[in-house]
Amino acid sequence: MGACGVNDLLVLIMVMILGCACAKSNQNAVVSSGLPNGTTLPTMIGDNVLRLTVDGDQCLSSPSTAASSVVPPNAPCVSVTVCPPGTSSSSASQCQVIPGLLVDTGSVGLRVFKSVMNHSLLSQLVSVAAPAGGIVAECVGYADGSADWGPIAEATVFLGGEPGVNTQIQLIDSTYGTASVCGGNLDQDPSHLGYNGILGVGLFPQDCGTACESTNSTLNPGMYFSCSGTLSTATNCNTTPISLAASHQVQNVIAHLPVDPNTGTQDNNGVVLMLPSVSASGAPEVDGYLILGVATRSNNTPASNVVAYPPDPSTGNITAMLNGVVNEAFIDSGSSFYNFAAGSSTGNLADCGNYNSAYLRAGYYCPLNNANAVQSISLPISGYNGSQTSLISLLMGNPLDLIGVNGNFVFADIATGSSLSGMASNTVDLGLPFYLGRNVYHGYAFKSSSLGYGPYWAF
Amino acid sequence: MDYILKNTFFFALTFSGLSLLVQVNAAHAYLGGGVDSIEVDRKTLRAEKSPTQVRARSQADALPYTVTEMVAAGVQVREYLSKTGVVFGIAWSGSHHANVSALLGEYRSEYEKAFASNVAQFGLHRGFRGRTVRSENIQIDLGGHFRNMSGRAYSPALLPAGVNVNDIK
Repeated sequence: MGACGVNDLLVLIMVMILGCACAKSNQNAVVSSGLPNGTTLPTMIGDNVLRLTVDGDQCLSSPSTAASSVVPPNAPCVSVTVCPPGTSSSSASQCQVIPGLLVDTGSVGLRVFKSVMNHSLLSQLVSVAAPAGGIVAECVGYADGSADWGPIAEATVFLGGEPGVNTQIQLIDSTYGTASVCGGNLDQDPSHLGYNGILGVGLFPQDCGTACESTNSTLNPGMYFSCSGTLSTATNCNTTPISLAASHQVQNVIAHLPVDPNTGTQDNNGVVLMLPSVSASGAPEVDGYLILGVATRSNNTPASNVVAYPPDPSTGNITAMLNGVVNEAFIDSGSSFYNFAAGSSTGNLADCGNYNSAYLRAGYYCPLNNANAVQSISLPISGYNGSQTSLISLLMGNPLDLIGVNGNFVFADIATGSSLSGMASNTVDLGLPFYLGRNVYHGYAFKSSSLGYGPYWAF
Repeated sequence: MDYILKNTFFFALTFSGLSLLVQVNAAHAYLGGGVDSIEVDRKTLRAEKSPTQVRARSQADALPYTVTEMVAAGVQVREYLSKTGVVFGIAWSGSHHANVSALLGEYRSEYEKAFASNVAQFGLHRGFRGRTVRSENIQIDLGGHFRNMSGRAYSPALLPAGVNVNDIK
């Protein structure tokens, strides 16, 4: 903490660039962040604890090197229980445990393939009425150009031992109504995606928020639509998006957790992902925890050296410096790799397509000197307010030599990047590899904890 | 239909030596289309148009293209028009991706096929926060995360001399 006396060239350069010296104020202190978690975690217990496995038994299936395998490396999975709205107990007969959900801190909301829900549950879920008639469906686009399409349902969702949350979820169905309004690259089924669905636990309370409330078509992102039909089938959907109140949108389930009657705590202000370290050669799978709430109980209270990094409210990004260039950055468990979309500034990493042309379009990054196959990278990370910088040291291996070798699919040292080089802004995606070995705290917007007022990431 | 005739006529007169492909694309507007196709895109996206901007890398540097910016559904869309009157690139940034398929015109099915084969080839689907899709005539770069996405679509064959793909942003 507070390493103002560190006489390190990199720190000096950073302080110069950030334009504020330690001696002048308490701004821009630099902390070096190692990996506090060993290869095995202590056992965590509580109503707010969900088992989280990376490519383990909470996932839909194990990844393999077979061409047909769609489960990526570094897939963090949990199970939740979905029930008809108003259900008071997760053990009620009409509820269904849904395993194989990707825990995605880069998105918001629970989305489950309709095809994995049993008929009795589906028949008891309730549609959401669109303001001008019909029921609400949604088109959610992802950064990779794919999208989820399907109706919105009211349900009660149970996470761990917490009380149920009455909320809206999406039922993914690429054949629902006029699916073409959502484009041509729709997620079709679990075998296509590798998951039964996605549990988005990102920093915001809804997947869209006030923008989707706007009646101005130049401002409204146009994610929500009205369809005539039921949750099961729709005959037609209006191709013009609707405006929809935030309270009717797909919600961040955790942000709406009620008080746990067993403990009197309310774990609705964020989540902690807790995962062990892995060696440079990786591991077949790892076991960890998704812990609900930040500093609401002893099991989610951060160590004293954990620091919050708030994102720029307009972009949702913090910054990461790579080879002296400041990049926009974000932390995202749904990304399987580190992604350095940093144009020419990645320096000592290069497209693996240089070594194996089959990977030219995959965007894998390899150490520039492929024979060494390990490359160290220094990555200073700063929050929007620039109050503190964490100096992260990474080792990057060669994904072509790692993925699937000895059955390993979990790695802290794999990166992609070239597929996005030259994008509008230089961007660093701190994906699931960043989570291996350190607890990452996600503080929700409009909520506070001992780490501060959200949104923030802390580690 | 007015713009179709006009564009085709324009290209036939001025660039009679150009390939048939360019004329066909001009007739269909969008990426590869003529200057009028920008207005077609604006109407398709129900966008508001900003004043045409010319971005010079330096004061003395006359660019071989103009950039027209419009805002639709919370996304800024920038269309790059060459001096010869062809839209060679489209870039966007905003809370989500622009309606890429709508901007591609006749390249739409080519893009969607290439996207599907990209997914089939690399499997790694949601695990990537971005994707590059190349097809016979175009390249699409996509990236970002929820509430902050950007991308671009361009035709390498239509890039004017001296223009770097990274200028499309």
